[in-house]
Amino acid sequence: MSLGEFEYLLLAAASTLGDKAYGASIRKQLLLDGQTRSIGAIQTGLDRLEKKGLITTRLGEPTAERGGRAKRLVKVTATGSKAAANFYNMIETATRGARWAEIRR
Amino acid sequence: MSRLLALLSELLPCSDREAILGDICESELTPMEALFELTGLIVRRMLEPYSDWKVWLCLGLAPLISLLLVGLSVALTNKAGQFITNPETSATSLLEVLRLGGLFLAASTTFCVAGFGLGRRTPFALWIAILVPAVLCFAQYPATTLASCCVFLFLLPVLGARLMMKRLRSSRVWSVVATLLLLVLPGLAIVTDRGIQLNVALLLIPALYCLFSLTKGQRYAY
Repeated sequence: MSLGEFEYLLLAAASTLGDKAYGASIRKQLLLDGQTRSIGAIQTGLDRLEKKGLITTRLGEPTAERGGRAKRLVKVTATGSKAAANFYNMIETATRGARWAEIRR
Repeated sequence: MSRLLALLSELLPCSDREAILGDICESELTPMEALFELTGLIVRRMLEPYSDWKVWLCLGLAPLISLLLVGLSVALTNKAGQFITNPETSATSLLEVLRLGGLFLAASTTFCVAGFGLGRRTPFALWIAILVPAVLCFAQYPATTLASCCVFLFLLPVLGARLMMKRLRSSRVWSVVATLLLLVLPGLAIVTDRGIQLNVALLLIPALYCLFSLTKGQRYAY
Protein backbone atom coordinates (compact mmCIF):
# COMPACT_ATOMS: atom_id res chain seq x y z
CA MET A 1 0.00 0.00 0.00
CA SER A 2 1.63 3.22 -1.16
CA LEU A 3 1.43 6.24 1.11
CA GLY A 4 1.79 9.94 0.49
CA GLU A 5 3.73 12.28 2.75
CA PHE A 6 0.61 13.83 4.26
CA GLU A 7 -1.00 10.43 4.77
CA TYR A 8 2.11 9.31 6.64
CA LEU A 9 1.98 12.44 8.83
CA LEU A 10 -1.67 11.72 9.67
CA LEU A 11 -0.91 8.10 10.55
CA ALA A 12 2.06 9.15 12.70
CA ALA A 13 -0.01 11.78 14.56
CA ALA A 14 -2.93 9.37 15.07
CA SER A 15 -0.57 6.68 16.33
CA THR A 16 1.12 9.12 18.73
CA LEU A 17 -2.22 10.30 20.13
CA GLY A 18 -3.59 6.76 20.53
CA ASP A 19 -7.11 6.77 22.00
CA LYS A 20 -7.24 10.57 21.87
CA ALA A 21 -6.82 10.81 18.10
CA TYR A 22 -9.53 12.81 16.32
CA GLY A 23 -9.63 15.72 13.85
CA ALA A 24 -8.86 18.63 16.19
CA SER A 25 -6.25 16.76 18.27
CA ILE A 26 -4.47 15.52 15.12
CA ARG A 27 -4.39 19.11 13.84
CA LYS A 28 -2.84 20.26 17.15
CA GLN A 29 -0.29 17.43 17.03
CA LEU A 30 0.69 18.39 13.48
CA LEU A 31 1.05 22.02 14.58
CA LEU A 32 3.41 20.87 17.36
CA ASP A 33 5.42 19.04 14.70
CA GLY A 34 5.62 22.24 12.67
CA GLN A 35 2.97 21.29 10.11
CA THR A 36 0.08 23.71 9.60
CA ARG A 37 -2.89 21.98 7.97
CA SER A 38 -6.50 23.00 7.62
CA ILE A 39 -9.38 21.05 9.18
CA GLY A 40 -10.63 20.34 5.65
CA ALA A 41 -7.28 18.87 4.57
CA ILE A 42 -7.18 16.67 7.67
CA GLN A 43 -10.75 15.43 7.24
CA THR A 44 -10.20 14.68 3.54
CA GLY A 45 -6.93 12.89 4.38
CA LEU A 46 -8.69 10.82 7.05
CA ASP A 47 -11.43 9.92 4.55
CA ARG A 48 -8.78 8.71 2.11
CA LEU A 49 -6.99 6.66 4.77
CA GLU A 50 -10.26 5.10 5.89
CA LYS A 51 -11.12 4.20 2.31
CA LYS A 52 -7.73 2.48 2.00
CA GLY A 53 -8.39 0.57 5.23
CA LEU A 54 -5.42 2.15 7.01
CA ILE A 55 -7.56 3.64 9.79
CA THR A 56 -10.99 3.08 11.27
CA THR A 57 -13.17 5.84 12.67
CA ARG A 58 -16.11 5.93 15.06
CA LEU A 59 -18.11 8.65 16.73
CA GLY A 60 -17.12 9.25 20.37
CA GLU A 61 -18.96 10.87 23.25
CA PRO A 62 -19.96 14.57 23.00
CA THR A 63 -17.92 16.94 25.18
CA ALA A 64 -18.63 20.44 26.52
CA GLU A 65 -15.48 22.01 25.03
CA ARG A 66 -16.76 21.03 21.59
CA GLY A 67 -20.16 22.62 22.17
CA GLY A 68 -21.69 19.25 23.03
CA ARG A 69 -20.62 17.69 19.74
CA ALA A 70 -19.19 14.22 19.23
CA LYS A 71 -15.63 13.45 18.11
CA ARG A 72 -14.70 11.33 15.11
CA LEU A 73 -12.19 9.08 16.86
CA VAL A 74 -9.45 7.59 14.72
CA LYS A 75 -7.69 4.26 15.18
CA VAL A 76 -4.76 3.11 13.08
CA THR A 77 -5.28 -0.42 11.79
CA ALA A 78 -2.59 -3.12 11.56
CA THR A 79 -2.42 -2.49 7.80
CA GLY A 80 -2.01 1.23 8.51
CA SER A 81 0.85 0.60 10.96
CA LYS A 82 2.56 -1.67 8.44
CA ALA A 83 2.16 0.86 5.62
CA ALA A 84 3.54 3.66 7.83
CA ALA A 85 6.49 1.48 8.91
CA ASN A 86 7.25 0.65 5.26
CA PHE A 87 7.11 4.34 4.34
CA TYR A 88 9.43 5.23 7.22
CA ASN A 89 11.90 2.48 6.27
CA MET A 90 11.82 3.57 2.66
CA ILE A 91 12.65 7.18 3.59
CA GLU A 92 15.37 6.09 6.00
CA THR A 93 16.95 3.75 3.46
CA ALA A 94 16.73 6.26 0.65
CA THR A 95 18.21 9.02 2.80
CA ARG A 96 21.18 6.97 4.02
CA GLY A 97 24.27 8.51 2.48
CA ALA A 98 22.58 11.74 1.49
CA ARG A 99 24.36 14.91 2.59
CA TRP A 100 21.41 16.20 4.59
CA ALA A 101 21.05 12.94 6.55
CA GLU A 102 23.40 14.33 9.20
CA ILE A 103 21.38 17.52 9.64
CA ARG A 104 19.18 17.30 12.72
CA ARG A 105 16.71 19.87 13.91
CA MET B 1 -21.88 33.83 11.98
CA SER B 2 -22.68 30.61 13.88
CA ARG B 3 -26.00 30.51 12.03
CA LEU B 4 -24.19 30.79 8.71
CA LEU B 5 -21.84 27.97 9.77
CA ALA B 6 -24.82 25.82 10.74
CA LEU B 7 -26.43 26.52 7.36
CA LEU B 8 -23.24 25.70 5.46
CA SER B 9 -22.73 22.53 7.46
CA GLU B 10 -26.06 21.28 6.06
CA LEU B 11 -24.14 20.63 2.85
CA LEU B 12 -22.04 18.01 4.67
CA PRO B 13 -23.23 14.44 5.25
CA CYS B 14 -25.06 14.02 8.58
CA SER B 15 -22.45 11.58 9.84
CA ASP B 16 -19.66 14.18 9.44
CA ARG B 17 -21.46 17.34 10.49
CA GLU B 18 -21.21 16.81 14.25
CA ALA B 19 -17.54 15.89 14.24
CA ILE B 20 -16.48 18.71 11.91
CA LEU B 21 -18.41 21.44 13.73
CA GLY B 22 -16.99 20.08 16.99
CA ASP B 23 -13.45 20.24 15.57
CA ILE B 24 -14.02 23.83 14.47
CA CYS B 25 -15.40 24.72 17.90
CA GLU B 26 -12.49 23.06 19.70
CA SER B 27 -9.84 24.63 17.46
CA GLU B 28 -10.81 28.10 18.80
CA LEU B 29 -10.80 29.70 15.36
CA THR B 30 -12.04 33.23 14.71
CA PRO B 31 -15.46 33.33 13.01
CA MET B 32 -13.86 34.22 9.67
CA GLU B 33 -11.29 31.42 9.98
CA ALA B 34 -14.07 28.99 10.88
CA LEU B 35 -16.07 30.07 7.84
CA PHE B 36 -13.02 29.72 5.62
CA GLU B 37 -12.21 26.25 7.00
CA LEU B 38 -15.76 24.99 6.61
CA THR B 39 -16.12 26.38 3.09
CA GLY B 40 -12.79 24.82 2.14
CA LEU B 41 -13.90 21.45 3.45
CA ILE B 42 -17.23 21.59 1.61
CA VAL B 43 -15.48 22.51 -1.66
CA ARG B 44 -12.99 19.66 -1.17
CA ARG B 45 -15.83 17.22 -0.52
CA MET B 46 -17.72 18.43 -3.60
CA LEU B 47 -14.72 18.16 -5.89
CA GLU B 48 -13.35 14.88 -4.46
CA PRO B 49 -15.56 12.55 -6.58
CA TYR B 50 -14.31 14.24 -9.75
CA SER B 51 -10.82 12.88 -9.13
CA ASP B 52 -12.16 9.49 -10.27
CA TRP B 53 -11.78 9.02 -14.04
CA LYS B 54 -14.82 6.73 -14.10
CA VAL B 55 -17.05 9.67 -13.13
CA TRP B 56 -15.69 11.61 -16.12
CA LEU B 57 -16.26 8.59 -18.38
CA CYS B 58 -19.83 8.42 -17.15
CA LEU B 59 -20.43 12.17 -17.59
CA GLY B 60 -18.89 12.00 -21.06
CA LEU B 61 -21.04 9.08 -22.18
CA ALA B 62 -24.27 10.39 -20.65
CA PRO B 63 -25.01 12.97 -23.42
CA LEU B 64 -24.35 10.38 -26.15
CA ILE B 65 -26.61 7.83 -24.47
CA SER B 66 -29.19 10.57 -23.92
CA LEU B 67 -29.17 11.34 -27.67
CA LEU B 68 -29.60 7.65 -28.46
CA LEU B 69 -32.52 7.40 -26.06
CA VAL B 70 -34.06 10.56 -27.53
CA GLY B 71 -33.79 8.87 -30.98
CA LEU B 72 -35.42 5.71 -29.66
CA SER B 73 -38.17 7.76 -27.99
CA VAL B 74 -38.99 9.58 -31.24
CA ALA B 75 -38.82 6.34 -33.28
CA LEU B 76 -41.14 4.56 -30.86
CA THR B 77 -43.59 7.47 -30.79
CA ASN B 78 -43.67 7.66 -34.61
CA LYS B 79 -44.16 3.91 -35.00
CA ALA B 80 -46.88 3.86 -32.38
CA GLY B 81 -48.51 6.91 -33.99
CA GLN B 82 -48.50 5.23 -37.41
CA PHE B 83 -49.97 2.08 -35.93
CA ILE B 84 -52.79 3.96 -34.17
CA THR B 85 -53.71 6.31 -37.02
CA ASN B 86 -53.48 3.83 -39.88
CA PRO B 87 -56.62 1.68 -39.94
CA GLU B 88 -55.02 -0.88 -42.24
CA THR B 89 -52.27 -1.82 -39.80
CA SER B 90 -51.10 -5.36 -39.87
CA ALA B 91 -49.98 -7.59 -37.05
CA THR B 92 -46.41 -7.13 -38.27
CA SER B 93 -46.44 -3.40 -37.54
CA LEU B 94 -47.89 -4.05 -34.07
CA LEU B 95 -45.10 -6.51 -33.47
CA GLU B 96 -42.58 -3.91 -34.61
CA VAL B 97 -44.00 -1.36 -32.13
CA LEU B 98 -43.79 -3.94 -29.33
CA ARG B 99 -40.26 -4.92 -30.24
CA LEU B 100 -39.15 -1.31 -30.45
CA GLY B 101 -40.85 -0.70 -27.10
CA GLY B 102 -38.93 -3.63 -25.61
CA LEU B 103 -35.64 -2.30 -26.90
CA PHE B 104 -36.54 1.18 -25.65
CA LEU B 105 -37.31 -0.09 -22.14
CA ALA B 106 -34.25 -2.33 -21.97
CA ALA B 107 -31.91 0.40 -23.25
CA SER B 108 -33.35 3.08 -20.92
CA THR B 109 -33.17 0.93 -17.80
CA THR B 110 -29.76 -0.56 -18.53
CA PHE B 111 -28.15 2.79 -19.24
CA CYS B 112 -29.89 4.33 -16.24
CA VAL B 113 -28.75 1.61 -13.86
CA ALA B 114 -25.21 1.72 -15.30
CA GLY B 115 -24.98 5.51 -15.36
CA PHE B 116 -26.44 6.17 -11.93
CA GLY B 117 -24.51 3.27 -10.48
CA LEU B 118 -21.21 4.72 -11.57
CA GLY B 119 -22.10 8.39 -11.39
CA ARG B 120 -24.10 8.18 -8.17
CA ARG B 121 -21.58 10.35 -6.41
CA THR B 122 -22.33 13.20 -8.82
CA PRO B 123 -26.09 12.84 -9.38
CA PHE B 124 -26.83 16.49 -10.23
CA ALA B 125 -24.04 16.71 -12.79
CA LEU B 126 -25.27 13.45 -14.30
CA TRP B 127 -28.84 14.69 -14.58
CA ILE B 128 -27.59 17.83 -16.35
CA ALA B 129 -25.51 15.69 -18.75
CA ILE B 130 -28.62 13.62 -19.53
CA LEU B 131 -31.13 16.46 -19.82
CA VAL B 132 -29.13 19.03 -21.83
CA PRO B 133 -29.11 17.01 -25.12
CA ALA B 134 -32.83 16.24 -24.73
CA VAL B 135 -33.65 19.91 -24.11
CA LEU B 136 -31.54 20.93 -27.14
CA CYS B 137 -33.39 18.40 -29.32
CA PHE B 138 -36.70 19.69 -27.97
CA ALA B 139 -35.65 23.26 -28.88
CA GLN B 140 -34.94 22.14 -32.46
CA TYR B 141 -38.56 21.18 -33.04
CA PRO B 142 -40.31 23.74 -35.26
CA ALA B 143 -43.27 24.01 -32.92
CA THR B 144 -43.34 23.19 -29.26
CA THR B 145 -46.48 21.11 -29.46
CA LEU B 146 -47.37 18.25 -27.17
CA ALA B 147 -46.08 15.80 -29.81
CA SER B 148 -42.58 17.31 -29.63
CA CYS B 149 -42.45 16.33 -25.94
CA CYS B 150 -41.86 12.75 -27.13
CA VAL B 151 -38.10 13.50 -26.96
CA PHE B 152 -38.47 13.24 -23.18
CA LEU B 153 -40.26 9.88 -23.33
CA PHE B 154 -37.11 8.01 -22.27
CA LEU B 155 -37.22 9.84 -18.91
CA LEU B 156 -40.19 7.70 -17.79
CA PRO B 157 -38.32 4.35 -17.73
CA VAL B 158 -35.18 6.16 -16.52
CA LEU B 159 -37.05 7.62 -13.53
CA GLY B 160 -38.73 4.26 -12.94
CA ALA B 161 -35.38 2.45 -12.93
CA ARG B 162 -33.92 5.14 -10.66
CA LEU B 163 -36.72 4.70 -8.11
CA MET B 164 -36.40 0.94 -8.35
CA MET B 165 -32.65 1.17 -7.72
CA LYS B 166 -33.28 3.16 -4.54
CA ARG B 167 -35.91 0.78 -3.23
CA LEU B 168 -34.52 -2.60 -4.15
CA ARG B 169 -30.85 -1.86 -3.44
CA SER B 170 -30.07 -4.81 -5.70
CA SER B 171 -29.66 -2.98 -8.95
CA ARG B 172 -27.23 -5.57 -10.25
CA VAL B 173 -29.93 -8.24 -10.57
CA TRP B 174 -32.13 -6.04 -12.71
CA SER B 175 -29.18 -4.65 -14.59
CA VAL B 176 -28.13 -8.17 -15.62
CA VAL B 177 -31.68 -8.94 -16.80
CA ALA B 178 -31.93 -5.66 -18.70
CA THR B 179 -28.49 -6.15 -20.22
CA LEU B 180 -29.39 -9.62 -21.44
CA LEU B 181 -32.56 -8.21 -22.99
CA LEU B 182 -30.53 -5.50 -24.61
CA LEU B 183 -28.09 -8.03 -25.99
CA VAL B 184 -30.79 -10.33 -27.31
CA LEU B 185 -33.33 -7.86 -28.69
CA PRO B 186 -31.18 -6.15 -31.35
CA GLY B 187 -29.81 -9.53 -32.37
CA LEU B 188 -33.32 -10.63 -33.30
CA ALA B 189 -33.54 -7.79 -35.82
CA ILE B 190 -36.12 -6.00 -33.75
CA VAL B 191 -35.38 -2.67 -35.30
CA THR B 192 -35.00 -2.25 -38.99
CA ASP B 193 -32.86 0.86 -38.46
CA ARG B 194 -29.28 -0.39 -38.50
CA GLY B 195 -28.01 2.95 -37.18
CA ILE B 196 -29.89 2.44 -33.90
CA GLN B 197 -28.63 -1.13 -33.66
CA LEU B 198 -25.05 0.02 -34.12
CA ASN B 199 -25.40 2.84 -31.58
CA VAL B 200 -26.91 0.51 -28.99
CA ALA B 201 -24.14 -2.02 -29.58
CA LEU B 202 -21.37 0.60 -29.30
CA LEU B 203 -22.75 2.32 -26.22
CA LEU B 204 -23.53 -0.98 -24.55
CA ILE B 205 -19.84 -1.75 -24.05
CA PRO B 206 -19.05 1.20 -21.75
CA ALA B 207 -22.45 0.78 -20.06
CA LEU B 208 -21.61 -2.85 -19.28
CA TYR B 209 -18.22 -1.80 -17.99
CA CYS B 210 -19.90 0.74 -15.70
CA LEU B 211 -22.34 -1.87 -14.44
CA PHE B 212 -19.75 -4.38 -13.42
CA SER B 213 -17.23 -1.97 -11.92
CA LEU B 214 -19.54 -0.46 -9.33
CA THR B 215 -18.01 0.18 -5.93
CA LYS B 216 -19.76 0.85 -2.68
CA GLY B 217 -19.15 3.05 0.34
CA GLN B 218 -18.26 6.24 -1.51
CA ARG B 219 -19.38 9.71 -0.58
CA TYR B 220 -21.93 11.63 -2.56
CA ALA B 221 -21.31 15.00 -4.11
CA TYR B 222 -23.31 17.35 -6.33
